Amino acid sequence: MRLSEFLLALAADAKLLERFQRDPATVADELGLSHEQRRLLGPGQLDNLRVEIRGELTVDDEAAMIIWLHQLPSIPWLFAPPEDAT
Amino acid sequence: MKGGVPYGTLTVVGTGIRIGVQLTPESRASIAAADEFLYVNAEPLGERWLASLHPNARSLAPLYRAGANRAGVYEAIVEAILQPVRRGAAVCAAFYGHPGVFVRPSHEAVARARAEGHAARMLPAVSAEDCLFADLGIDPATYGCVSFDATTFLARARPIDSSASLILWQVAAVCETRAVVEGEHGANVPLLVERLATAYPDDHEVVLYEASPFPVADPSVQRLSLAELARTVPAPQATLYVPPLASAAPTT
Repeated sequence: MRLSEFLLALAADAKLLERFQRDPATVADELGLSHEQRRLLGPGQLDNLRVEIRGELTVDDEAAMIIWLHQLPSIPWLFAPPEDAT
Repeated sequence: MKGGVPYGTLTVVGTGIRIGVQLTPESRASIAAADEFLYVNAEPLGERWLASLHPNARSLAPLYRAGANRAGVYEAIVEAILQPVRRGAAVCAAFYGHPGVFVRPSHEAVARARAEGHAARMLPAVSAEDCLFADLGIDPATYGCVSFDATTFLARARPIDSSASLILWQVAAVCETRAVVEGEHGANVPLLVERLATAYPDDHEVVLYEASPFPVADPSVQRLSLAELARTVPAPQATLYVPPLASAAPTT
């Protein structure tokens, strides 16, 4: 099972998540996660896990690399909307 | 119906930070009840999960492009949300984290929808700050806590209260007016450090923090000195936590 599929299954199935929290090794065995996949779910691996997931999914490369922010700093002179920029 | 134009409804929800496990029952019900479901998520996996929640789900991700003016992107998001509302649809729009915390287009969409006569509301959710408090073990009540967008913090030269906790958001894009991509971010972090150095010593320990977006992975917690921060490129979604100075914090 790919890690992206595993994580989506956890996201969709509260019972599976509960079982994994109680006994991660057994659930990982049942789903056939490799040693390397289990390592990526461990401490200090967030960046590596993200790279692995992105590699598994077919995504818009540019969109995937965008730094997703949704707030502008409250500095009107710096962030005027395009129509006000003249 | 007003002048032959139907009234739609808008519900803005947050999906929390951790994919799938921080969506509240209230928000989940609002997604299910909508005619159209629009969403933005920072992670491709999150986009995949959100697409599965509704038969009429549509990602707003294509509105983001590298180098695009961020104000223009946010305006396009607002209009994409409002178009089906104006046709009379019940629309649910989802943002990751809390939809009202560091999210400009969500507030704008609700305000415009109401101004046009449509019913609009925002539901609360788990924010990145909520995750930070839990993961770093910080109670904002202990020393007080101030929170700024990093660029706003730099541009508005307010006095720094080093006796309180300080949280700076969007540090990877400090002083950036455009949508930046990974690998081109963090160039202005030394400016941020220069400002912080007016209130904290070079060896003051700070934390670059990123909540895990995945259901079971640990957060990223990088502890480093202020001097080291000047030489570091933060992770794209990193938040900077600056603890209070021990000498300045009130004794308990």
